[in-house]
Amino acid sequence: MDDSIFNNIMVATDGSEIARKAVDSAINIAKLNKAKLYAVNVIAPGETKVTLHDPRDIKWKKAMKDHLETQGKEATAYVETAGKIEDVTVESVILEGNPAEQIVDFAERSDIDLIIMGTLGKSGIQRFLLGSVAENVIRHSKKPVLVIRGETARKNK
Amino acid sequence: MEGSTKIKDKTYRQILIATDGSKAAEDAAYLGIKFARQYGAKVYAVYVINVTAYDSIIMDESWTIDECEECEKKGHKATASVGDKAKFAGLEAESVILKGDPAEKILDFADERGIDMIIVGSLGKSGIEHFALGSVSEKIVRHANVPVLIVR
Repeated sequence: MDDSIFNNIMVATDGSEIARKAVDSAINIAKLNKAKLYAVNVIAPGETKVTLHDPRDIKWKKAMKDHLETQGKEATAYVETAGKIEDVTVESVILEGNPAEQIVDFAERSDIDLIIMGTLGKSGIQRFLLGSVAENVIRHSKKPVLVIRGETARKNK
Repeated sequence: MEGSTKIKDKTYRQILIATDGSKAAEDAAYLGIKFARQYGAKVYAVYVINVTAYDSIIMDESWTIDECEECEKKGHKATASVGDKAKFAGLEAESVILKGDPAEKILDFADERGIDMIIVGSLGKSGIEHFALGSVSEKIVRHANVPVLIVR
């Protein structure tokens, strides 16, 4: 008897603690469903708005992109390791562009049947931005989205 | 069959499936129940009578009461439909009808009962209602203390 409901699952990760929580859930669900898990990191070097007046700015932008790529690879490598431990097939994918758009597009073209992501990552402004990534994915995705929360959202009720 | 399925994973023990009786919510419930079955979770089928929506409309009392009887009937029908499917899948299920602001009521209920996951359809009515109900799931995602699965 096969109870599997998902074949291809993707988890969006930026390597943050909350993303790791989403990764843990993704591994758990992928294992139960014997599904393939795509570990997706989106780098958005375009978001760092550098005005190119000076050749040094271009160099800085390239360094920024390299840095983001390294971070992205670290984030997806974590998923690969977790997958190996739990016998889940993991494929790492690094995308570039607007995170929500990239996540939704990837899910469409890769026949993903479940998107898993955390809502809050990192801190401060970044935390705010990542929250809005999840919201934009929910708004535009035709696929089911599982949102994992990082910390108690409603502290004082 | 279901009874013989060995449930080893207890990550999610209690799953709340929100419904508004729409087709979209029904579809979400199917996926939700299949998901719940993998964990042998108890399903709470929750319908919220949106009192806030009626507060904003000026109307005479009798109409309000009639309307709410309708709401309650609708609520019973919607939750029974989800609950029956869950029971058919071999799961324990409970129907719950609440009154108030849908997102707030669902979140409060989830906190009180120690729900492990909330499943909501990205609800599919039309026009302004679609917009308003869509924002229910957004509000739930924004404020929930537990994982939320949004099904379109």
